Formats: sequence, structure tokens, C-alpha cells
Amino acid sequence: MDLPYLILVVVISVIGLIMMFSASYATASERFNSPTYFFTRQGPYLLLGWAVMLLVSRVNYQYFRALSIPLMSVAMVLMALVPFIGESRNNARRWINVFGISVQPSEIVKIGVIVLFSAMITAYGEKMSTFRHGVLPFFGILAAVAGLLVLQPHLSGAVLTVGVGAVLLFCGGTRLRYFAAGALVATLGGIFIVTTMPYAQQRIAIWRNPWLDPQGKGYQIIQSLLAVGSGGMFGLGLGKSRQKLLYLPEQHNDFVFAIVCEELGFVGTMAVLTLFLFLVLRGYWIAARARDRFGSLLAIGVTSHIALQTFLNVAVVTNLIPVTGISMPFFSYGGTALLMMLAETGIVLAVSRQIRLQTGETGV
Amino acid sequence: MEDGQGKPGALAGENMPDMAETPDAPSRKSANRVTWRVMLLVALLGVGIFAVLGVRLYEIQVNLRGELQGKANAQHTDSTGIDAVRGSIYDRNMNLLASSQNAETVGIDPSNIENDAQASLIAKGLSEILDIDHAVIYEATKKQGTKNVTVARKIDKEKADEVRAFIVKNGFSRMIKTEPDSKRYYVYSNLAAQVIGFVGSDNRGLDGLESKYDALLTGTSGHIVAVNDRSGQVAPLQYEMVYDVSNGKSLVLTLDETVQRSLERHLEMAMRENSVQNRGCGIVMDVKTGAILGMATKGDYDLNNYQAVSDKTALAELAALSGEEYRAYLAAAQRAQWRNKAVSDPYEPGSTFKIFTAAIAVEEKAVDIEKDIFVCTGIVHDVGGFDIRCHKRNGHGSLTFAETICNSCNPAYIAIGAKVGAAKFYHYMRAFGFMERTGIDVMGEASNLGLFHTWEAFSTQVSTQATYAFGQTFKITPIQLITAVAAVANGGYLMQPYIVGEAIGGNGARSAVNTPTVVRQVISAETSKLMCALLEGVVSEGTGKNAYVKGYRVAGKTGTSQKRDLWDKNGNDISEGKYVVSFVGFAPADDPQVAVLIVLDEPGGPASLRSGGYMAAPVAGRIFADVLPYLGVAPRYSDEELSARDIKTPGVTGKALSQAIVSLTNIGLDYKIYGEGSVVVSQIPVSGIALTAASKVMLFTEAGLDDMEPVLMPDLTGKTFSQANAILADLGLFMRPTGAFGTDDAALKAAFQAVSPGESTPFGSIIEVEFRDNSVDDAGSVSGRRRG
Repeated sequence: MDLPYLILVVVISVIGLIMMFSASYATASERFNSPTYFFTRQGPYLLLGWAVMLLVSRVNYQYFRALSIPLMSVAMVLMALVPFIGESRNNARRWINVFGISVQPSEIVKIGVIVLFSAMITAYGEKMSTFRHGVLPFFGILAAVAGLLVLQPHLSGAVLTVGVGAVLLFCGGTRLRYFAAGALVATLGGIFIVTTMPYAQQRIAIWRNPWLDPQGKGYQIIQSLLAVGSGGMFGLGLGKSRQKLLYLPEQHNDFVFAIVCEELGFVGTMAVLTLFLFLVLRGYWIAARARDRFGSLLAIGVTSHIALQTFLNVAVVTNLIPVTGISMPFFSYGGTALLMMLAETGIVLAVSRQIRLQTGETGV
Repeated sequence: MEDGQGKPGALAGENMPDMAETPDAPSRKSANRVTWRVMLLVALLGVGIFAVLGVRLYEIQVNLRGELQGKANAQHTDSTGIDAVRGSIYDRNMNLLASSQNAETVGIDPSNIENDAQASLIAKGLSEILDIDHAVIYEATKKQGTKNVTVARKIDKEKADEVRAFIVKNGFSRMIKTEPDSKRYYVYSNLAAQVIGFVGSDNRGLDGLESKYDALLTGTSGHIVAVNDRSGQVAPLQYEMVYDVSNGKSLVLTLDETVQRSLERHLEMAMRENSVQNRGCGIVMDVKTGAILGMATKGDYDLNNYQAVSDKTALAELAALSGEEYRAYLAAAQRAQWRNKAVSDPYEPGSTFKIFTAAIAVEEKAVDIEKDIFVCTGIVHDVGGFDIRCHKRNGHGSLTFAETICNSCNPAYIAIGAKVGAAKFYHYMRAFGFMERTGIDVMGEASNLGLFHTWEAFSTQVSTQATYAFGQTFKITPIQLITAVAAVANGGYLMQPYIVGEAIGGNGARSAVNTPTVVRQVISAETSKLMCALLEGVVSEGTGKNAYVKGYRVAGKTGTSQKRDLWDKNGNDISEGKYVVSFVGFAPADDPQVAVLIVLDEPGGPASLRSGGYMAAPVAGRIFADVLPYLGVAPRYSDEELSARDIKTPGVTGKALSQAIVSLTNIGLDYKIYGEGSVVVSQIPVSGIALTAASKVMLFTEAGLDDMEPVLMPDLTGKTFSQANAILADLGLFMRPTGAFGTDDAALKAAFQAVSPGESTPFGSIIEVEFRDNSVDDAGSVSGRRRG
């Protein structure tokens, strides 16, 4: 098992829990009269997640090829059920109650896509360069997943899942012309949406200048920017965020990283991001040394998932892209998400167990 | 991605077909292609995104930090700021001049007002307590997008207590807030008003030292963060972050309250006596350091109510105006009373400037002090095409160099200026600091740039060179003049004047703000010494006689300059008959310590008396008389002065008459006996009263004789020394003469008496009478006409 990767995951997830605790302190006090409310609920998930991670890491990942189809099927069934029996929060149905525990099927479906795509790509081999094998089945699956996610609505989840799928196809050998075509369609679609839907235009206007509506639609991103900016070079100090005092909504959730920026400053924030950078690079390093193509693709999928989600979250927090509900890996409050993320890192560790010791040809 | 499409092919070789196009391409190629893709992925997702995020975070956290943190602080610290206590201002003996006292501010939080009934009740309650218009407060309760609307500032504690009672009674703790604030209090109301200046409603300095040293006085306000959360309530958190207040520093001025008081009292009296139309100013300076001991401009204003116009004429005008006219006139009147004339208003110095013409001539050895004779016929013809008159129409005749300055003779100074030469004269103008700001640390020092001739103009105009020599046709500020005079007096060193000596920090630590700074040495110590002697002659024998102070060697120079550039709305010259009279002097002449400048702008009164010698010199004399003993300069009497010195009456009551007479005559007093007894039963004045030598002490040898009726004060104006003395003695009063002094009895005329004519005064009172020499006309005269 790759020790550096394991250490990075543990360190990042511990930092994430501490920062989530710090960020949630005020809201927990205010809403639940208990500063540790969110902390005591996230903590057990972290311990459970580590256990799951270690468990998964001990599995011979070759079995995942066979497991991929049932996993994806379960995930899709749950996804299909969400619009009907899902719990509604913040105008979105994303959660489903399974045996008394709220879970987000969208988190499961991401693993499903990673494992299934890796298995399919490996199976198709050289045929990936054809449209029939390299595009069609994958497009169908992604369209179904994305469609169900948009229904929730969970646009950012759709973007992320499609992004991870696309990365796997890119590494799997799908020809670039199809990516080009896909990019063209996405661009045209985007332009169409922006030019025809006032709602989209409004969101873009707020993105460009949040101060157009400081008490309304721009409020959250303004508060986030104030938090990030207040951090300055060295931050206000751990636990000393002021923006978390009910100014910044979702400060323990999608915007937890804004509090990280405020409390740790540019230097601390870059230190945290550097840990993520090492995790991602180590993930790709494991992918490059995986015993076989399937393992390599699994590691690429998980690593790219972490990288993309981290990027999208921090980009939202810093208003680099318009606000969309996307959580910060290992940091944001949410049991299912943390559990699934740690399970994914377990897959990478499982791959790392079978790394060929000699360097030389890659498995991809 | 499309850019990269050709690359795998390129790697494989230019002429080879893209292997990716062939489904059954060798797996080697496929592996290569995929490896390349993974590398790109690593670069993009592994490094690229983190680089992008790093740049973005740097932009926000480092570049935009100030702006964003300011906005964040603004919303957090809505009502939890702790204002730094503004520093106090002290005079040089630590007498408090200005300090901040606790006051309170009342604010409304409209976002917590639930309905209109509450708004109305708040408006009603607060308007009654605070005496503010009901509508103003009602409007404040309706403001959107704010959590704090200030409705009253700087209210005292009792009012604030009433507001708090109102809050408690109605449960308005979330809607109305009282916050600590401070109010600036000026101990002496109008003392040194234009120097000290004032603060606005936000406690930031708006004028004077309050503005000049605002940053130092203000300090850094602190705040408590996180006591308030977004809902504006105290958060249920044991969490707070205190940013310490750093209180403002206090200023210790070089200004001396006693000196300032003397300056202002005498200046104000002179303003009244001479019906001065365009304000007057005075400066008292430490000759050796350039430190300002006193600086005053009259009319002034009450610092505690700085917006109220204090000038009575302006108030009368204002009463008749309304609307825009009223506002404009009010603003102009306020600006006028806030203006520090001593540094802000350049004027033509007139004859006081002869000090420098003389000093330059001595320094450059352009004149032979012993032998040169200057002849004045009362007019100099054809000076660059102009005739220039002396103030003495029939001329001064032949004068030595020393006599030219005593008599302030214009033709002589034209000649002396010519002997110096234009280039040297102009050089020294610059060297004495007349072409640059002095750099004094008070607000509003004006630049006189453009108010003197350029070298090009000066060097080619003979008439300009001539008028400069006696101080006309150019303007300087009072502070420039006294600073240069101090240089003449102190051995030649031009000092940078200053008024703030030290700052005191919160822990009581003192630090120097200004220290004596020599700008340059302008003239030699020898020249300085000679000038001191010459200028002492002006006061002892010349036009400056009225600045004389018994026991002190005062040196100085008078000035009376015509105003030349006043225009009415229609462009007509209205300067005719308008003068600036001034006196600048220093003492003691043999070891100069203090310099005094008095400038009276547009005095009224009889034209013959409109001169610096008659109007300004006595003011300086009175100030010297107050200040020199106060500063510990011991009087030294000349033989002449000794005969007229003050003698303290001995106690002779109870003594035998003959014994009493001996003890009086022994110390130089005379006596007058009332009654037939042989023992003194009472005396007037009682023991320990200062009398002029030879005054007659009244000795009563029978009881009851000293119970005399009060005396009606006669008018002594215009009486000579001996006449006034005789009149008073006849009435049973004693005279204490002040002011000009001399052996020529006819030249001294009583000009001021401490008890007004017609008032009754107790028998045996001592009446102070100020004498002036009114033969001291020294008006400059540039009104020579162009020769036709």
C-alpha cells in the first residue's frame, strides 16, 4: 500500500474536519445551541470512512470489474427514486433515506461511473478509438446520469460527473475529434442558454459583479469574498473567522474553504492546497505505475474526481466561476460525501498495493 | 484540445498517417498516445488548476485584501468600535488647552423596527428627549439597508440616561442604541483659536493644529469583533477578539498660556482703541530657537462653538440676509474668523523691513557706519521715473547711518539700498527666507510666491529696488518677518519656527516633535550685535519710543505701510488712506530672548496718528512689560530710570512723624502731612505699594482724616508727564506712568489711563497712565507720481 498517499489522505481529512468544526461553530451554536453539533456528526463518518478506505484498499481491485455493473445499477435506481422519495432541502431533492440514514445517490453514482468506465474502457481496448465503442455507450450512460442529476436539480454534480467521465475517456483513447465535437456542442448549448434565458444572464451578471445585488443574489459570494480577502497573507488565526458568525451562509458546507482562507490566510491556504496537489500528483503517480490498465484508470478516475471537485469548489468560493452548489472534498460537512470520497481513496490504495516494483512501461 | 490533435501524429513522424485512425494500429503507438494524454492530464489537473487557484487567491487575499477586509470590518463592527481617545493639547507648562470629554451618540437600527407603530413611538420619544424634529427621526426609522442611523451626536450623559430609560421602558434595546462618543472641549474658548483649530462632528481635525496633527492626535481606534453576529445580537459564543485601541498622543506646544493671554489682551485692546478694520495679529517668538510663545489673530472665535460668527458687524449683516445669500455670507464670515492672519495673510512690511536693508548694508560693508552721511530733503526725484517722498515732508536733513534707522528715513534707505546693489539685496531677500515658506507647523501658512518681483523684473526696475529698500511693493507674511528679525537678533541664524515641541504617548512617554532647527546663517554675529544696538536706539530715541519698557532694553522697528492693491467690485482702487501699521521688536537688546510682532490692518482714528510707532509699538511695549519679568529676565535700570523707578512704600504707621519722614526720604519718596499730631496713625498708600520715585506719601497724624470722599477721574489725554502728575497729585491720587519714557517732557503725552474719565475712584488710588510719543510718524510713501 502506498504510505505517502495514505498519510496525505489522513492529514487532509483531519485538517478538513478541524476546519469544518471551526467554520460551523457559530451556526451550530445558533441553530442547535451546541457548538459541536456538526463536529460530532461528521467525526464518526470520518472514522467510518477511514475504516471503509482501509477495507476497500485490502480488496483485490480486479473484483471491481465485476462489481461495477451492480454498483452502477444500484446507484442509478436510487437516483431514479430521488425525485419521488428524496428529501428536499434548499429547493433541491438530492438526499434519500436508506435505513434511517440520509445518503446522496449522486455521490455513489460518481464511484459507479469511475469503476464502470474503467472496466468498460479496459474491456474495449483498441476499439475505444471507434465511435461505436469509444463514444456511444459512455455518452448514453453520462446522459442518463446527468439527466437525473439535472432533475434534482444538481447541476454541479452533473458537470462534475460528466467531467470525470470525460477524463477517463480521454485517457482511455477516445478520439479527440469527438471531444472537439462535444466541446462545440457544449459551447453552442451554453451560448444558447445564456442568450435565451434571463435567469442565466442574471447569474452571469451577478458573477461578474456581485455588488449589483449585495443583499440578495450577490450576498453569498460577497460574504465569501470578504472572508477570503480578510484572511490576507497570514490569516486571522485558527478559530478567529468573523465571517462565520452567521454572515457567510453554508459556511460549514460548500463555503467552508472561504473560512479556511480567512483563518489561515494566503500562506495557510496555499499549504492546504499544496497537500491536495501532492495527493493528486501521488494519485497520478500510482496510476502511472499501476499493474494494469484497469487499475491505472481507476486511479486516474478517482484522482481526477478529487482534483476537479477541489478546483470547482475553490473557484466558486473565490468567484472564479458562478456560484453552484459543489462541496469541498474532505472539508465540507456531509457524511455520504466524506464516506464515498474516502472509499474512492481506498480504491487508489488498492491499486497501489499491486504496483509493479520495477519502473519502465506504464500499465496504461 | 483541438490544438493538440496533430501532435501524436507528429510524434510518430510527419509522413506517417495518424495511427489513431487505424483501429488495429500497433498497441505500442496506442500506448504512446495514451501516455501523452495522461501527461497532459497530470499537467492540467495536477498542476494547472492549482496554479490558477493560487493566482486567484493571491489576487483576493493579498491584492484586494485592504478593500475586502475594510468591507468585512464594516459589517462586523457595526456597533462595537472603540474610538481612540483623542490626545489633548497642552501649553509648554502643561496647562490644558484642549481635551476630549466623554459624550454619547444615539443611533437607530431601522432593520429591527418591526412596524410603523414602533417607528412613530420612537420618533416621538427621541424627538422629545433630544429636541430634534420629529420628522427627521421618523425618516431615520425608515432607512433601508443599514443597521445604524445616527440621530444625535455628542449629547451629554443626562440626555443619554433619558434615552436609555426610554429604551428600557419600551423594550427598544434592539432598535435604539447609545454609544460612547467624545466631545472636544477647549478650556479657554478663544485663546489661540486660529492656532489650535477645531474638530468636526466625527472628531477629525478640521483646522489649526487639530488638523495639522490630526493623525497623531487621533490614534488608532480599536474594535471588538464577533460580539455581534449578523443578526446584530450578542452571539451565544464565548468568543471575542479585541483589537486594541491606540489612543491619540497629546501635544505639548511651545505656546505659553500666560504669554498668549498677554498678547491677546493687549492686541484686543489695541484693536478697539484704534478701530482696526481688517483684523490684527501678533506673534511672540523665542529668538534663539524659533519656538512660538504666542500667536494670535483678532477678531477670533469661540473654539467651543466654532461655527458661530463672533464679529458683530458680520452678525448684523447676517441678520438681514436669507437663503443662498445668507449661506454664502455665513461661510465667508466663518472662513474669515478661522483664518490665522499671522501666517496666512501676506502684507507689505513697510519700514520694519529697513531692519534688513540696514543689516545687509552692514554685513556687506556697503556703508561706513561712522562716516557716511545721508541727506534727506523730503523727496527723492526721478527714481526710475518716480518721485518718492519721505514721511517727513520737509526732510530729515543730514543723518548718520544710526540716525537713518531711528528716524526711519525713506530717502536714506533708497540710498543705502543703492549702495548694497540689486543683486546682493535680492540674494539676501532669499537668504532671510522672504521667498519661501518658513515651514512652521501651523495650518495655513501662505506662500508669498508671486507677491514679490522676479529677479528679471527687480534687476531692471530702479524704482522697485528703491521701494524694496523701505519695505514696499512686495508682500511677506508676519511669520516670515518675525523669523527673519529673530535671525538679525540671535547672531544671524534663521531658525525654522515651530509651535509643537513634544508629543506625549499613552504611557506618558514624551517624544520630541520639533527641535530648534537652523535653516542657515544669514548675517554674522558682529552684524547682529551692531543691529541690536541700532534697533535699541529706535526704541530709546527714535520712532519706536512707545515700545519702551522701564528697566528693559527693548530694540525694534516700526512700520507703516500704505495698502496699494485693494479694489472694489467695480475695479476702482479703494486703497487710498488705508494702512497696515506694525511694530517688530525684541528684548533685551544686549542678549535678545523674545521677539514680538504686532500687525494692525487698516486702523482708523486720526490720520496723523496712524503709524506703527503710535499704534503698534505700545502694544509690543505692554507685552514686553508682561512677558520679560514672567520669563525671568531681570530688569536693569539706567541712572535715568532709577530716578523714576518704582519704590515700595514702607510701613510707617505707628511711628513718630519725624521717624516716618526719614524712612520715606531715605528711599526716595516724598511725603505730605495731614493733621497736627506727632505720630502717624495711618498712611496712604499702605505699606508695600509701588510708587514712582518722589511721589508724596500721605501721612495722617489724626484719626479720621484719611476717610476722604472718592475722587472723580479727570481726563488726562494729551497731558504731558508733569502735567498729568500734578493734576493727579492735586486730587489725592498717585500716578504710575507706563509706556514711552524720556527727558523731553513735551514730547510725551498721556494716551491711556487705567480709570476712565468721569469714573469715581477711591482717594489715594494709584492710577496707571500710559504715555506715548506721538512724534513718531514714519509712514512709508510710495505714492510718488510718475514724472510727466
